[in-house]
Amino acid sequence: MKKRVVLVFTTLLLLTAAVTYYRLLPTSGVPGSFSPLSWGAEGANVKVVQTRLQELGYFSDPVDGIFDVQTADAVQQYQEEMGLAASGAVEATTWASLLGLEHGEETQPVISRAEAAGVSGSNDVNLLSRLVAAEAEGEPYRGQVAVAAVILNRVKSPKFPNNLSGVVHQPHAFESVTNGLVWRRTPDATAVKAARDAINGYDPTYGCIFFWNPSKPISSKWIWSRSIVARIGKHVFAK
Amino acid sequence: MRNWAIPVVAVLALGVIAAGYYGYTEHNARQQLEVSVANSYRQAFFGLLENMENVQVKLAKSLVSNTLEQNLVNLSDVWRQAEAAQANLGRLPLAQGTAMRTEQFLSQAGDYAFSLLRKNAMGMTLSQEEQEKLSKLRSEADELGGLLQGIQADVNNGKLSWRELHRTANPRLRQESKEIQKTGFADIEKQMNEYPTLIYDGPFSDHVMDQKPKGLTGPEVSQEQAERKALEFVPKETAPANARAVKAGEIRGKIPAWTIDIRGQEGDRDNDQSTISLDISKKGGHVINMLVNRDVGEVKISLEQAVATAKEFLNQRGFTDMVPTYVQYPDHVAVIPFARESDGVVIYPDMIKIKVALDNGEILGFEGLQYIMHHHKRDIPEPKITEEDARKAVSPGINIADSGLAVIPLVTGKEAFCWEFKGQTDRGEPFVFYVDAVTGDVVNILKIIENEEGRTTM
Repeated sequence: MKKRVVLVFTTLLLLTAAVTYYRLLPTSGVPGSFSPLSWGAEGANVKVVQTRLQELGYFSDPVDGIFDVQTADAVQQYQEEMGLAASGAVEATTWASLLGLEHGEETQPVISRAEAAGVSGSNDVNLLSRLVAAEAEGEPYRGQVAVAAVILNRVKSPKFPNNLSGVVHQPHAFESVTNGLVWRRTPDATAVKAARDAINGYDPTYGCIFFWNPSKPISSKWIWSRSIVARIGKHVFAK
Repeated sequence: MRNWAIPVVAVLALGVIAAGYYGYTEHNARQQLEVSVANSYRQAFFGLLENMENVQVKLAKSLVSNTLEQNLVNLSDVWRQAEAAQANLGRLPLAQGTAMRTEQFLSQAGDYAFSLLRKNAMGMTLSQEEQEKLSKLRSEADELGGLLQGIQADVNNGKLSWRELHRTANPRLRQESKEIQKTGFADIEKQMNEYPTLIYDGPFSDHVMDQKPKGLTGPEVSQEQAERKALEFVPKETAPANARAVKAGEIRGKIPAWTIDIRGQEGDRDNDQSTISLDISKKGGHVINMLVNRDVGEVKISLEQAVATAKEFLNQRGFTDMVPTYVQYPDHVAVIPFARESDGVVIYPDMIKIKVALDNGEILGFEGLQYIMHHHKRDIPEPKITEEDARKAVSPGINIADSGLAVIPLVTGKEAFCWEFKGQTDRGEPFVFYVDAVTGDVVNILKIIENEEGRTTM
């Protein structure tokens, strides 16, 4: 059963990667900004490579997303048999060959700016969704996005540490971090979606930097002196 | 003594010894952990002291330094040390809210130094007013440094216990020992609260944090009008059959709004998976955002289709002059930011993000807060710098593929009218350059990051 889930998952991953890559290929056919994968690389792309190599029978180790010696050997073997330059590293040509892609037209709309507000990357999605899962479990979706938004607003605020990790780990800032609950649970799909929406700019709290559950005991009356903006689900949000 | 008692006593004795030993090792382990936690607090505290001392010294130096090079060195040190001080302060076990103003002071001090640094680097000298602000900042920093030294004495003679401080900072503890939190840190916060906040050209300046919405126009709408608006706004395909609007909450603050949920008819099982909710501004009845929570299945439609659907959705809702920018596609959805285009100039601050499900092309999200914050009628001048001249400001290592005019938001809360050049290096790394169309300065350089989730810029 588990195996099947893994299989379905990796296939999906592969599919997305394939779609993605198709769209990322530059018109010239020269390796564009696809960064070549070689020994020591980590991440989703490495997993894709490992999965593909496994399917083709070149790689028998577990798919762990780490480009180790075994992965390099498998790549090299694959390259030799396919008549590619046997470098052991995955550059654009090997990548395309592995995924059975041909270099296509660039289909992306024009590029432009995103707001990088001290938060980006999948690590941050992970950390943020963990916190959402632990702090806003059972809340309506808007309430989950709101909790994620408060955390991001703290990152942007001069009154709090200026990066996500600093905000999350500030002593006693979040109960679930204080009691360790945040590390014991894997965030569910909804929490991940909520975290992504918040990173993409949804802020149901309009700049709030506090939230609390008024039905739980809190020692500081101080918190009620903040200006309250919204009440979503069980939480009160304030500036 | 009976002979059966001997083994019983022996077993009991063994048990007591074992329990004692266990307790002892546990106690030791706990002690060690406590010491190491206290040590890391101490490390942060002494780091903070050192950073603060450096801030003071470097501020003093920047007030007397006369050459551009010296200014740059000193101001960048102020910036760096103030940031480090802020980070260290954030690691201390202080009760919520007891160091916020101090954190803000450090953030702004560093940010202010950076804004002056940028001015200096562009060859401008500091104005009289800026010098005065700097010297005021210096005396405030001296005061803060002095107060921290006072706490240091308490730390050294053991009057301040990190363990107690840590324990009592927990907001869930309802007890009287809050006195302990009234350490020197509370005094510092009180002192910092008396300083006026800084206004300058930087992201942490109060005027940037307190920006008012520019696009909130129109008459007040009632709750009923907002509900109707919400129902009309949600695409038919996304909404449940016989959808109805229900008020779910109210937003106070600078954008007062109604939160409206869209649900199926009563009796139908509403579950979280199908909940749609929107914020509608009370002034003007603008849709600020729409959130839809549903699981998205396998990817069946292309990004082009997604972009076209999003564009059509915007057109139908009166946003007729929006152009798609880059796309991100994590987890089977496409997130497409649209910017307004006016007379061939792309207005990036007027941005709306649309989320499209890649399984069936439904619209799953609308984010219009940026648009409401920034949208207004702009007088866009003719560029003073020709494209040819602007091109010269772009690094020669970039092969320019595309160019145009754009208005971009700056970290200072202002906007810049720019020539936009898209291109890549010989190694194929894509970049976007923004050259001010009035002054000819390079205002921003963005590196485009491409990964399995699409494109973003940094």
